[in-house]
Amino acid sequence: METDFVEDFKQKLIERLNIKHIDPKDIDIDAPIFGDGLGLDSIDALEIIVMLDDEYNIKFNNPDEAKHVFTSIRNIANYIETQQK
Amino acid sequence: MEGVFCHRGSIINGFADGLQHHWQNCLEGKSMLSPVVSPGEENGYTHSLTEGKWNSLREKYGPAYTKCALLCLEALLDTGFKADEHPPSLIIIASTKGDIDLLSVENAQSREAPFLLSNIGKQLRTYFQRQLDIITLSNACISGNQAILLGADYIKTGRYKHVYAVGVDLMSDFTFYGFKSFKAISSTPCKPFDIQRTGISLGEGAACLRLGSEPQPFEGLQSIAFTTGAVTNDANHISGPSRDGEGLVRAIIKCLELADYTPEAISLHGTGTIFNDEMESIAMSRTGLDKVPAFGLKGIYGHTLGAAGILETNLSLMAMCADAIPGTVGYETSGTSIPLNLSGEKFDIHYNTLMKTTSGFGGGNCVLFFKKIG
Amino acid sequence: MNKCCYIHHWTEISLSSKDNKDLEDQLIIAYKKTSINYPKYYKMNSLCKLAWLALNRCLGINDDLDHYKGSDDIGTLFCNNSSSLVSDLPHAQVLNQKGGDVASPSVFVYTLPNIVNGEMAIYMKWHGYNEFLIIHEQSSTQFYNHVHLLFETTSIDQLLIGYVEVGNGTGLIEARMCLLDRNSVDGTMWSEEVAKRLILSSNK
Repeated sequence: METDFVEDFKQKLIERLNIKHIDPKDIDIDAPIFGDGLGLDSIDALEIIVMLDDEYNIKFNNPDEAKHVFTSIRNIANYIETQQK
Repeated sequence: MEGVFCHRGSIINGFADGLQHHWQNCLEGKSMLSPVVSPGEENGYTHSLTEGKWNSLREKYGPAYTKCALLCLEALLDTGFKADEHPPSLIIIASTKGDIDLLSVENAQSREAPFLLSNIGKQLRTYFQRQLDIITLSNACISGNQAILLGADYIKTGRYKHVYAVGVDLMSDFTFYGFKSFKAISSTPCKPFDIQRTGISLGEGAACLRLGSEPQPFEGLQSIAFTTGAVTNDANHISGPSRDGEGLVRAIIKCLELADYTPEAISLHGTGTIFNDEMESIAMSRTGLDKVPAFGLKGIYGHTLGAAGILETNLSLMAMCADAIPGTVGYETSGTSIPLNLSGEKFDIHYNTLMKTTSGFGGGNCVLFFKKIG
Repeated sequence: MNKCCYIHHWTEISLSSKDNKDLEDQLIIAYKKTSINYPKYYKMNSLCKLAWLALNRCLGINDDLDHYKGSDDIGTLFCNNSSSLVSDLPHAQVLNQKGGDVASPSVFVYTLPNIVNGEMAIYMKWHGYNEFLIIHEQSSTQFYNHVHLLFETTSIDQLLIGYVEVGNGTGLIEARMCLLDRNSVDGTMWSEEVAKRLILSSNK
C-alpha cells in the first residue's frame, strides 16, 4: 500500500531521473531499483543522493553509504521519513 | 610518410616557468596541490594559479584576454612559437570547458560570447594579428593526447612542417562542483592506484608540445620521435570506464601492431578514482604490460583535463631524456586488482620507448607511443 | 594526396524552438515517431537526442541500421559552435542560484560535447575513432582536409560526420549528418562544397 509520502516521493523521483516515459502506475515501489528492476544506473544513484540532500536535507558522502538504503523506492521513502522524525 | 619529432614543450600553471623547472619538481616528487579554500569545510585539493600570476600574465599580454587565452599565449611562446613562421604552422587547441567561468544567462545566446571554445583561437589571432591555422577540439580528458596525435598526423602526411598542440583548462566552480556531484573529488591529495584512493584532485593550466618533421633534440636534450597513436571508444557508459578496459585495450593493441615494439615505460592516466585506476590496471594486464615500469603524474598538478595529455606527455618526454621513471606522487600501496610496476619513489633505468595513456568521459581512450632516436 | 570518399544518406533536421521545454517536447515527439525502443534516449540532453534522431534517419534508410552496428571501423566526427551549452547553462544556473552542493550529476555529465560521440557509440556499439570539433569562423576547406586526413591516418572504413547544434535550446535547432565511405564508388564525392553545406550554420 502506498502512503501519500511514498507516492509524493515517487513523483519527485520520476521528475529528477527523467523517467517520465514510464507510467507511474507501472513503477513497482518494492522492485529493486538498480539493474533489472527499474533499470537505474550509477548516475541515477548519485542523482538520488543529491535529491535527498536538496529536498530532505539528508547527506550521504558516497554511494557505498547509501547502498543499504537504495534498495527499493519504498525503502528510500521510509528511510527519509524516519530521518525526519 | 614523414617522421614526426618532439621539439619543445611547455607547462604554464601556478608553478615556475620553463619545462626544466617543472621536470625538476617531478624528479623531486613534489606535490603542488593545496587545499581548496571554501566556506565551511575543506573540500579537496587543487592546483591553481595565484591572482598574482594571473595579473602578471595580464600585464604581459593585455587585460582584455581571457584566462585560457593568456595561458595558451604563454604556452605557445614558451615553445618558441612565431606567428610569421614560413610555411605557416598549425595550432591545435584542446580544452574541455575553456573559459566556462564567463558563461552567464545574459551572454549565453551570443555567437561571439567570451566563454565559447572558439573564442580562444579568435584571441590568438587578435594577439598575433594574423589569420593563423587553428583547430579546436573538445573530447574530454583525452583531448590533449588527441591533439598530439592529430598534430603528428598532419606532419606525417606532409600537410604541415610544424604543429603546436596546446591544451588548456581552468579550475572553475563549474568543473569542481560538477565532479563533486559525482562524489569524485578526493578530500585529500589524489592517490593514483593507491589502496586508499578516493577520487581526483583538479588542476588548471596550459601545456604546449611543438612537433616537427625535422629530427631535433627535445628541449635540446635527446631526439624523440612520435611513433604512433590510436583513439577508441568503450561504447559502454558515458561517465564510467568499461570494467574490462575494452576501449583502452583496443587502443593499446592498435598501437602495438603499428609500432612494432613494446613500450619499456608507461605514463598512465591514473586519475585517482576507484574506477579509472582499476580499469587501467586491467587493461595493462590484458595487453601484457602490467610489469612494465610505469608512473602516474596527477599527484603533482592534479587532473588538468584538456591540458592533461600534453602536460603529462611533456613531463614524460623529459623523463625519457633523463632515463628516469618518476615516482608516482600519492602512491604508496597498490590498490588495483592487478598490481602495476609503480613506485612512490623515482627509479633510474635506461629505456628508449614510452606509451602515454588517457581515458575520459564519453568513453574515449587515446594512446600515444614515443621512441628515442639516435 | 586527398583520396576520394563518397557520402551517403545525407540527412538534415531543422526545428524551431521557443525554449528548452518546447525543444524537449519536440524531441520526445520525434522519438516516438521512430517507433524505436531505446529508453536511454530519455536520459540524453537535447544535443545527444538530436544527434540520435539524425543518426537513425541517416543510417536507418532501408532499415539498414543493424548492418552498421558493432563495427570497429566506423569513426564519428561531430562538430558545432556552442559545444554543450544546452547543458552548461542549467548547470551554471544551479551553481549560481542554489550553490555547488546540489549540482546535478545527470546534468553535469552532459556538459561535454563529446558525450554525443559517446552516446552514439553506446547505441551502435562502435569502438572506433571519435572526435568532436568546435568550429566558428568556419573554414570549410580546413574541415574538408581534416576528413581526408582521418581517412589517410586511421583505419576507419567509414566516418559518420555530423554538425549538431542546439545552442542554448532556443531558436533554430539543426543537425546535418552523412556517412562517408572510403571504398564505395557511387554517391556524391566529398568536396569543399559539401563540407561547407555541412558546417555552415543557417543562423547568421
